[in-house]
Amino acid sequence: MRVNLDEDQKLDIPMGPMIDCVFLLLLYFMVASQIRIQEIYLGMNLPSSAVSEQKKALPAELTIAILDSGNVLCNQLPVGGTDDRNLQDLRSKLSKVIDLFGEDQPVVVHPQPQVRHQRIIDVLNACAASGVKNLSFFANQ
Amino acid sequence: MSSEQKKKKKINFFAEDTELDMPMSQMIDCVFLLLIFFMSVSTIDDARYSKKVELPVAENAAAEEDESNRAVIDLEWNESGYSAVIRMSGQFYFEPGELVPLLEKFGREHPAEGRVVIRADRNVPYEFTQEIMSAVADSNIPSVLFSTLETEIPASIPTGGG
Repeated sequence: MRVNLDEDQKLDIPMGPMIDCVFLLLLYFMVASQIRIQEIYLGMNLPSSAVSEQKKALPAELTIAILDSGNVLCNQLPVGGTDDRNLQDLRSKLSKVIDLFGEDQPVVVHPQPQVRHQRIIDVLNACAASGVKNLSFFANQ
Repeated sequence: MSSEQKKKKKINFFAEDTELDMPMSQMIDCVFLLLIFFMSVSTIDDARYSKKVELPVAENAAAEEDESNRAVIDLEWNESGYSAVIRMSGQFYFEPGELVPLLEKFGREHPAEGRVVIRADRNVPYEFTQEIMSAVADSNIPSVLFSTLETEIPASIPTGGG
């Protein structure tokens, strides 16, 4: 259907209210938005009775102890001091072991009770960098 | 020419019939672009995650695109009181054992693909984290993921959590 407008009539889109709405939406999104930091994850097997029995059968289990002081021992040999966040010695040792025995090499992390979570994550981070896949926590009996 | 004369002198840039209009169309273009930008980058923030948790840093951790089928446990740390507060699905818990029925239910609902994410504060001692892991293990969920950040966040940036 064709609408005949008078010659002096103009067909205008009402821009004013639309711009108001757009500005309101814009302000809402600007105010409500926050920067979302992407989280990344380190996986870990949990100690269970079945896993512990299976682990006991494997002879070359590698134990990483984390002392309350933050020192890290790998099979009772020191591989990282308190301030050593990168744990290069641990990384090189783990890399060698993984090269020799493959990534199924079981590695057990044994932190002492007072060790802070960041220090445990440092060790897990070193394990991830060295390609360790079979990682678990020591099961307290 | 004195300074007063300079001030009084009026310069006419426009002819008398020229209309001074704001260039609205360009401005609307910019506003629309900004609006589309904010709409596209915004995601609905999951208020179930605690913003009080200061996550540890690990640059070799892996990103996960699929955030479904996860139970997230926050572990906030109070250094002055040497105590931890456990939070799951927006509820606070003071004993890790209280999580076991919830996690068992979660494990039954997601028998194969269910994962538990522990968002522990970087200063939480292992004795508290261990209790959470024991609760997860008691619920027959075989593995956990530890939530970390790739780099340290500058204190000036307000974050929306995970």
